Amino acid sequence: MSRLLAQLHRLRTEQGTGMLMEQLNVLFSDSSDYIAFKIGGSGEDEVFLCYLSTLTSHQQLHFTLSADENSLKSQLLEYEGTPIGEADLEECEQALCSGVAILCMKNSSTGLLLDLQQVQQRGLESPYTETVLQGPLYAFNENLEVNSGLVRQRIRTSQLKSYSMILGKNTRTPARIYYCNDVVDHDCLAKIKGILTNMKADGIQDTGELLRLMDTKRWMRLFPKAILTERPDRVSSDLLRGKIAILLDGTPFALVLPAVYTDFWHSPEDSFVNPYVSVFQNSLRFLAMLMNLFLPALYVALTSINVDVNRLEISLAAAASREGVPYPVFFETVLMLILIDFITEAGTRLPKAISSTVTMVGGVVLGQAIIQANIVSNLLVIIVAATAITNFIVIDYQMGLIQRLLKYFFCVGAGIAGLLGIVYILAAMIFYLSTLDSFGTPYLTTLMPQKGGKK
Amino acid sequence: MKQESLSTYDIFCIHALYAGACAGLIYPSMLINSTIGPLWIPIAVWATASLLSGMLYGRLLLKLNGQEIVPFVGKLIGKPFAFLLLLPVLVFMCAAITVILRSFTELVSMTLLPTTPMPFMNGMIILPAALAASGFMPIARASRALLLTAIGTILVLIIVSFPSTEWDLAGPWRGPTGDFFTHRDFYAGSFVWMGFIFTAIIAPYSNQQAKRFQKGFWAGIAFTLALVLCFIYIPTMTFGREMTEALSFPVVSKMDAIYEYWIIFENLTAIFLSATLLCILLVLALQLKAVERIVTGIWTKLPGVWVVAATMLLVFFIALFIPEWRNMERFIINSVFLRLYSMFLFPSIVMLCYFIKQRKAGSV
Amino acid sequence: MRPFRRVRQLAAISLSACMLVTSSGCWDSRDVDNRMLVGSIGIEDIDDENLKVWFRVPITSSTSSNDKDSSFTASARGVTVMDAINRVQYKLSKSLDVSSTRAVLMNMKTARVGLLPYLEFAIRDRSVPLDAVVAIIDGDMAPLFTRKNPIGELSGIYTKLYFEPYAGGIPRKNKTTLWEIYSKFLNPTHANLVPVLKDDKESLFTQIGNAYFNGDKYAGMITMDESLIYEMITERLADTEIMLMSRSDIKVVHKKTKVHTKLENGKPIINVVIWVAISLTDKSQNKGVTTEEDIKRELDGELHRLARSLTKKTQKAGTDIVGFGNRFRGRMHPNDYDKWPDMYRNAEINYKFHIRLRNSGLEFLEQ
Repeated sequence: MSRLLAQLHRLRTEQGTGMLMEQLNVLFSDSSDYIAFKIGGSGEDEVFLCYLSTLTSHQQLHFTLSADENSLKSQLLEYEGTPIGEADLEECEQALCSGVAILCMKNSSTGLLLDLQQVQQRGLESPYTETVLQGPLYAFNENLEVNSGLVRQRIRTSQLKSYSMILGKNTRTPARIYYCNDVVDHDCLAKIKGILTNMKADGIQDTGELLRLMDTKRWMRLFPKAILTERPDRVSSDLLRGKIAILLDGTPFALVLPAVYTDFWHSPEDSFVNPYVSVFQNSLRFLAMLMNLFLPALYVALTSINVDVNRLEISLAAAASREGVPYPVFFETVLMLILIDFITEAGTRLPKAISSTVTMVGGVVLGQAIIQANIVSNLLVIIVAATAITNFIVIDYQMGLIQRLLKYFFCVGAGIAGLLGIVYILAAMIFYLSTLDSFGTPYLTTLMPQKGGKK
Repeated sequence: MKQESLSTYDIFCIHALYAGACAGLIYPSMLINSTIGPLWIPIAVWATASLLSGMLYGRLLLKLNGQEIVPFVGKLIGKPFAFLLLLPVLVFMCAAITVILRSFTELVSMTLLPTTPMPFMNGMIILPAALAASGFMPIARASRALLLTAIGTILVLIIVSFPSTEWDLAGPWRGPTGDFFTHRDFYAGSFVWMGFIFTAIIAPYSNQQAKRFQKGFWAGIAFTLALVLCFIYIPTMTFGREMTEALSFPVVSKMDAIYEYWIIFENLTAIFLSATLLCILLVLALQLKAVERIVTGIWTKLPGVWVVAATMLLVFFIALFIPEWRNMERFIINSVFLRLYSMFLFPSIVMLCYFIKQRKAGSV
Repeated sequence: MRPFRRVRQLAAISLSACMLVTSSGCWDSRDVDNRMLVGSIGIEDIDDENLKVWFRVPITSSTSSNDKDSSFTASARGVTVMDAINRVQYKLSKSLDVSSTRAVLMNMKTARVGLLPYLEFAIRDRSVPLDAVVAIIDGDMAPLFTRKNPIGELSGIYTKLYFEPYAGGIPRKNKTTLWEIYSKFLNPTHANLVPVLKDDKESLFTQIGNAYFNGDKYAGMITMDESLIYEMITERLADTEIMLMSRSDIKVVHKKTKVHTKLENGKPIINVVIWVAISLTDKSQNKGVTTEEDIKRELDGELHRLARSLTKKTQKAGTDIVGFGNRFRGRMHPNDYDKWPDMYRNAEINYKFHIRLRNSGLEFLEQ
């Protein structure tokens, strides 16, 4: 306690610079959780403690009622916490906002920082978006320190380096870049550091938003350039492969980059199961991707333009099921695709209890009714259902969203020029992908899973 | 940033796609019409010619030391002369783009989309132009991805077309030869064999890369040879020589004739044309890029994107104003000189100039 | 920077406008329910000027599954096939789509006049698929197209099933596709053999033989049994076939054929060696004892008889249906290929059969 007092007395009290206490009161006026109260006097100076009550815990401060019988005053008795530092107005403002209390004299221009930070966080839970049946079952939470700890716990080497920075002018969100020094591509690392340093943003809420801000070329943003994952095991295995991970305070999703197209098709489970099974699962996913992209488009092409590509029996079945449907195939298909996307969207946004009802009503009742009303053909309902199912096979949520978009392009191509139209759009997609790069690594690097910053 | 460099596999991919784009359409009927003797002899002659020319280019590339070929020529003999020397190559390239574009759209119009207007279909060149404008490495990367899809599909189609073939029908295997030398279709078919010229002109080649170019070129020429043999012998072995001679696109007709119970698709022409479309889009991008390289190599200040755009528009309008299919065929036949020039004369002249200059430098 | 951005926006807007324009004009789009998918085409020569073309179109309806077997028949007269296709459109509310046609049936008269002029449209225009089967109809065409198919529309009228090895096709039926016909018309060293069908009361039609063609003109017909020899030589006999003989029925289970050819003084000499493996399926009980040797001897005699009559018929007409001539391609100058039919007339063709009785079924044959 005496050391604290001694430091307190060494605080600068130059007159010209203005008094910290008053300036803070002005800055935090109209903030109901801002508290500044006198905790005692030391000689002629009164000592004040300022903090934001919503961010701090009082448990580290022990007060005592003053022994002075005349006035019943509370006095700071004890402080438990990390070492304290001295800070001027600007630093004090920032410190207050991150849950630090300021101890200052009434007319001093600087203050002492007492770390009373109390962080609101939930415990470690299992991942929501990347569930696996086998393998580590915990996920990141919203606390940067906890998340960093989780990564460190998995890679026990001094080669794991990290680099901290503050992002966002107003949110001042702490971020940490992790990489393994021996395998990382240093060009890529420098590039990412450069981008983050020069980034101008008021606030950042999530790593997804961060990724959007890092990707500067407007036309090149269709495909995700980095993996968002909430699994520490995925982050650490990617780090060991030479990738770079960015952890951001306030979000359970880590950003792993650079990421190439095929990265989005691998589940963390792949390396935990039998290799034959994982090859099978990978091909299954690949097939699902193709189905999801091409199935509705093929329906359009094969029932309206390239009818002769089908067996006659299939064409007859298609013709029979379309008997009496008033709309052209193209509009019929787009209508159904939009409808199924509505259902999917409704299902994801709603609480679990209601969403099953929505799927039920949407999928079964609507599907049945729409066929009976002769608005679409029943062959199309099968196709749209298959498309929706295959969309859920996509591992990565970001990629799944893109896939949902892309199938409309293929449908348009098929509507205009049939099979050739589909192939043209496919070529456009491949060409687009081949012009992309994820922070210096070409997006279409290889089809093998092994890749990363370093080749 | 680490500079990504062209690998042997990339060069092979590009050559394979070039073969996939060119060998299946007009070429088989040209070659079959050029001789009454064994078909493999003219193919072998062209493969050898292509090999020679490729080696000539390979030698030339070894001298570049990381430069591109056009600035190298410019430095060697001065820009005006370089322009004159490169002009036929440039014309040949523009013509090649036009011919490929127009012949493919014409074929599509004949088979799959009879009522879709020609200008709309010719408009497909916008995609290769966009790819060409974004650089050479994207082209190489795209070619790697397309090799799996397009060439894979073509190979599957070749495999399923092997049943119902008969060796005897493709005869004679030996016999009268040499008649093709006097047939103009033989010379017209040269365009299949010159994919390497485009790759040679585009990328800057260090010594190591020139060696990779050589290797990729060997693999590419072997693949082209195999593909051409398949595309020519499969229709002849199914339909017989007489009917194949009567067909304008024997491979396309062959695809129509395939029927197997277990193939879920009936009309394989559509599949074949789809795979060919993929190859053609990439080849067009490659050729547009080559044109851009030549032009910007001479006039270094021109922005590449505008050159590509201008070439694209030029090609689009020429393709639009070719009235008849006959004109196309005649053009392919009459432009033989340009192709032979690009294959042999141009690299020989450059090599010659290089040696003369070196000798002068040595003697001084 | 800003004006450039505006240019980009403009470009994007105009591009999407272009997309709208193009999607409004899906030029080749014609929905499948607006097409009448033709199952089979019949071409009938009426007089020198006109021909009549029949179309059998399966009717599709989603309402009840019982109606699946109905079909619709349209016919039109015209100068050419394309003309008739055009004229039949006058009657129809949906577009007539021949791109999935399974069978092209021609009547005997067209075969006698020459098939080529009637089939060229299919190759040139690529309207009828090249893998459609072709057959000659002996007799009236109308019942084949107007009668209801008792076996069911889907199995019967496409006719393809009738010939397909995976369905009702046995080798003797000799499935012939459109491209084969066209290629053999043009090939002087190989002649056509086309199945001949005849109207049948129980099913829709039955096969009575295979017609061989001199060029594109009908030259004669071989019987179904003679067709078996043809299938053996051309190695198209992938399946098993039953042969009926006086004392036993046997099943041909396997065969291999070797053809040796040589040219002596302009005369082709062709030696055909056929290995046949058979198995016994039935033995007549009333003809006394039958031994393996008996069966083999009888079969050998029977096969020789069929082969001789096949050769005699085709040599007389100068039609090399087997395609022996293809083997001489290397030995003749390409300009001499046209002489092959004459050479074939004078060719010496020898047959030799090696017969193996692989087994006698699940029952012993008494020795």
